[in-house]
Amino acid sequence: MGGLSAVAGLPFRTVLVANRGEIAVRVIRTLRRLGLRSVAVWSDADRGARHVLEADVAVRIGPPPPRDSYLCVAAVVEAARRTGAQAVHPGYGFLSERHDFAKACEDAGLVFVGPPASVLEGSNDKLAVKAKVAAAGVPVIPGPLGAVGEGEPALRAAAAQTGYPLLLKAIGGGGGRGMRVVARPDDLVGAAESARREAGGAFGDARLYAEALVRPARHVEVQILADATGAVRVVGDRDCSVQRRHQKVLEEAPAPDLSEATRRTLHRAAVDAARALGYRNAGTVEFLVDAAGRPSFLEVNRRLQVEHPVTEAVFGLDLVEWQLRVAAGEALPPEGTWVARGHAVEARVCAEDPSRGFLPASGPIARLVTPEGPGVRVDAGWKDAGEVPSEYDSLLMKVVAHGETREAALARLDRALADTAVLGVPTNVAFLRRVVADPDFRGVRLSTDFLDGRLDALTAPPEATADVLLAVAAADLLGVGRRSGAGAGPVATGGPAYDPWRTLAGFRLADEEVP
Amino acid sequence: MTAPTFHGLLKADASAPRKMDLRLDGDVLHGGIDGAHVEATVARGTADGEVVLRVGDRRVRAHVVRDGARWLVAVEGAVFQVARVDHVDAADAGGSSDPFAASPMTGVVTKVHVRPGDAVGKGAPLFAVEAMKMEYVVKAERDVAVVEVKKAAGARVAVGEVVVTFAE
Repeated sequence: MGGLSAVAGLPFRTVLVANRGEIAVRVIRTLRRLGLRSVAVWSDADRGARHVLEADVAVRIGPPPPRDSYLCVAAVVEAARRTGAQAVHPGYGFLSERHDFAKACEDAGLVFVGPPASVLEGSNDKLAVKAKVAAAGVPVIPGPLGAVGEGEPALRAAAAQTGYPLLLKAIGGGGGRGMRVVARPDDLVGAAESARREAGGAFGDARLYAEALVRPARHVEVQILADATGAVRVVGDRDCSVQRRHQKVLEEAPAPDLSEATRRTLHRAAVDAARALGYRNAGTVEFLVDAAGRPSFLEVNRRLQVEHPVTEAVFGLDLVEWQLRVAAGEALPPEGTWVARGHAVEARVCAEDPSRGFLPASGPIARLVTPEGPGVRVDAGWKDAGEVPSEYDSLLMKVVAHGETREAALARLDRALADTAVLGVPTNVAFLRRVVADPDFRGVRLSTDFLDGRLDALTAPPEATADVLLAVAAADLLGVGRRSGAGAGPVATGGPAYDPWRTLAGFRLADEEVP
Repeated sequence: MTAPTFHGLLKADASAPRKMDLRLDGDVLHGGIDGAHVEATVARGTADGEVVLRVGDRRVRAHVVRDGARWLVAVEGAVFQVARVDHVDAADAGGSSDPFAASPMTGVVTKVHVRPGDAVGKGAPLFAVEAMKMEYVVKAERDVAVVEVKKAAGARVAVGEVVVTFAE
């Protein structure tokens, strides 16, 4: 078997990355730094994708639909076997929290870089997890610790324990699916029916549980690392209150303006929750913090989070490296090894159109320019140009800024977003800049309903200034950005609505054209 | 040698076209936009589509991709679609006079609400497309008579692909 990694002293040489997009690129970067051989997997939609080009080895695993490729356990395990991989990093999403995948890796003699299959299997049932952590003394949201029974009387009985407004949640679920806010008793039966339908379809488990609705509340989460000796370390916290439909928009570390008492409670609760679940590897314990600063447990995310770079920026560590070390059986360093410095904020740049209800976009990117500068990190799934497939999520890149203070980090983030250019698919960059500039966001008046009621102002299409027209004229006169052979005569604007995204197939890379 | 000039109407996104009368003398770009005087210094223009201007005391950095008489321009994180136009058509306002409805994104048709021969009122749903876990319902932008349904539920569609056609 491959021998030791030269740099890291890890017991494996070759690691397969069972993911795509920015997270696959990011994991490969750490593998390379550690002197490990990286294996990428790709579906036909990702043939020329950045993660495929940057890995040492790349294996096709199937056609574009996720269930036939990135979600296909057999295909991924076979790719690992064929390439001699000794470990598998699952990234986030896709197979990352699937106990059957972790088990298939373990059975094939592969190190699964995440919690053991038994831990994943034992924490699939969200209500059982809630009951376990509650028994360990972790504060939880009020509500019955049993599934809501079928029929109206059972529903009414559950609602009597939570009061109104309440939240119905899917026992097997996540990501806001199978979740309903019920404001009034009249809405209870209808909401439960539609939540059951959605949960059954999405997770194959229609069971629900009921909780009181904690609102307004901030979303604060705690990063943990746990090793095989039972050591659990807290690597700070993050605030991810700015969300749209349960999708995080901006994330920052540390969570600003928390009292020391609240922070201590959160960190202790996260460790207690991890111990109660026998947790291992990197994980995130999510909480809601109400207006009085009282935390209550939401859930455990049993993977690397999208927003992990803000923690890395503040603590100066590489969480993927520590995932690999812990998976290899290494013990974590003593408490106090990692010290927080400054503040970091991340913005998720997505291929979507905020002015059309955040409609996801796909298609060719003619040009992609990423920002750089002191304290700025970009994790991108694309470089210079490429194609956004319609089959996968719309995250293009994460722009992360670190500074000595929150204000400094935000100033850097705003500059970095202004220096970001994506031509060919619409993105949310202008929207993100407006959120960053919002006085309530600046003033840490945060809650998960932050965006409600502000979306119209934040998503209005920006007006083209004279600067934009001057830049076009200058580009024309200098011959910049031009397709060869294309005339510059006027085009009529009648007929079908002008839609460059429809016609972008005509674009090619500008730097192919200009001599 | 005469200085290069840029004359004509430029239309950015949905805003009204603006009349450009500019010339480039050395690195100074000057002239008028809708008759108002403008002047900028061109600091950089690179092969990969970057333009840097000085406008007064401001630095303007743009990334440009061009297709014929159309440009995509990114300035300060925002992206604009700019086109040279020689006339302005009233029908350009929103495309609602199109004799068809097209898919707004690449994805899968999940539902078709209409059949050939149906008379459909403004605002009624025509079909739904799903991509990336999100469903988008396309509605009639005016009263229409359906002529043809080109895609059934389950069919894959590209952005801009026609799904339903109407009588003119």
